[in-house]
Amino acid sequence: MEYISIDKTIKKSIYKQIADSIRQAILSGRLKDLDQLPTESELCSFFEISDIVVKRAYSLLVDEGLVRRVQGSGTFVTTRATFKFPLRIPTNVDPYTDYNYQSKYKRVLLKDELKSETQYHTLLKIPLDSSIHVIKYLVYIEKTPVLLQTIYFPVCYFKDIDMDQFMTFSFPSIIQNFYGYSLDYAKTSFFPINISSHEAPLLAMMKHDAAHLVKTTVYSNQKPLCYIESIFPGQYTEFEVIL
Amino acid sequence: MKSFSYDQVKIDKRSSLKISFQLAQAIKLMLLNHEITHHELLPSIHDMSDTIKVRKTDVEEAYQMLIDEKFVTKQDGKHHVNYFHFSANFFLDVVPLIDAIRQMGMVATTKTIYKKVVSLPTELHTLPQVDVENKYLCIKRLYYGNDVPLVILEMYMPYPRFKDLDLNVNNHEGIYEYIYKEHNIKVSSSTRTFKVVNIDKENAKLLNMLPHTASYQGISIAYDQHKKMVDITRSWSIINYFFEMEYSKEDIDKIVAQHLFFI
Repeated sequence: MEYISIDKTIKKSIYKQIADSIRQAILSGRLKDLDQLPTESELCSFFEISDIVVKRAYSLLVDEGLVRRVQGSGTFVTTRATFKFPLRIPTNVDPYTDYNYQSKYKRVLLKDELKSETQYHTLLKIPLDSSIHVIKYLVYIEKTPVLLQTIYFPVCYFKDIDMDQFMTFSFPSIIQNFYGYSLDYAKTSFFPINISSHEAPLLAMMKHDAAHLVKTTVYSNQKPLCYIESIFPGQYTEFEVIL
Repeated sequence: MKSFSYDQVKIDKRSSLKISFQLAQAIKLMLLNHEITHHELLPSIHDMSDTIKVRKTDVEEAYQMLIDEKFVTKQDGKHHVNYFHFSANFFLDVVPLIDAIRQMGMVATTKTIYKKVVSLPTELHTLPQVDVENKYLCIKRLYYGNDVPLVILEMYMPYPRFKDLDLNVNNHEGIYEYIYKEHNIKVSSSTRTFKVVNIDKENAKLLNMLPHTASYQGISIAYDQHKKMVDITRSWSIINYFFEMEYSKEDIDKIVAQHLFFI
């Protein structure tokens, strides 16, 4: 709490002094993303001020997008960058290339084979007794996890997976360039979800934080070739469409 | 009402997956493939258990999973589908919300929550070409489909330009419809972004949702035929809906070439 200072003898309102101190601590990097701020009652008793003053200071910072209040948990610093993707792919995607993952990195969390998972076998239109590769991984941009992605692709179309290729290239480019499949089209559905408690820490989020769940099936020769589930932090990922 | 296609429900009794889970997944897939749609009834627990030859407790458990995930609601002992497929037109064309709801085959109605002259909320100050010093007429409206609240729109319209609007607009038409009819102002272009937020208490109450539930928040800026700004709108929508996009070969090529990673 030492980063907050107030002076009751000056004319500037106390709530502004508190907000200014916290803002300064955030902008100088002393407070980092997800750091917890003191509770209202801690500030009230420490500085002997009323809770209305603290509430005003915090709501000012919330409006500025520097902190967020989580019911039942507290008030937290939020300094994550927002990434933007085109919802409809424009002719010129240059404005979005800041958000590409060339030079970004992946961390694989799971590589496995599935059998008899009705849901995925039905989606991929393959027999229940055939195997499906599953790879679950995180994509980071400058140390921030921005995407948790799980790819399901049938062993009958992809015998083995070279993990070096996987770490270097995007999955659609591997399918095209190394397996020679032509990608005809992709169907994507967008859902809002509250992230589960086991997935939240992977994306540096809090449990039940809002997230985008994006489900994509990629088709080649009218057949579903792979199924991809992507989870993006909801507050920090925007899909844009210019009409 | 069309009958339930039991042949879409394939249960593998030798699988290590629980039967209730398999059943819930199968029904969910039918929902997402539009084989069953909003307000349709699921078969009774007895009929489902009898037809697909599984225990009643498995069906009960599966239905409960769907209720927990907000795909289904239970009313008077019957299980109704509670999932909307929002037309992608709403996201991809300059379609008024009221028309997007009509396109979903529903009766669209609206209710005005409030109209007032305000400053622009700080959260919207970073939008491009927005005059933050200006006053705005804020109209907050709730849009219903078949009497179910679906979307909240909070529109900010530059105040002197739309000074008289709050006196005249009624609840049976969209604001864009009204300003075209009355002022010959046609919304011709807009930029929209969508993110997912934990909905606040006030808006959750309007949409019959629990606070903190994930909700799509859209922010759009609309311009008229003379490229003058008409409004900035924030929207919140119910969780139990989804929308679909289809990406062509050319789109995928661009996504791959530019290393955009959402596919």
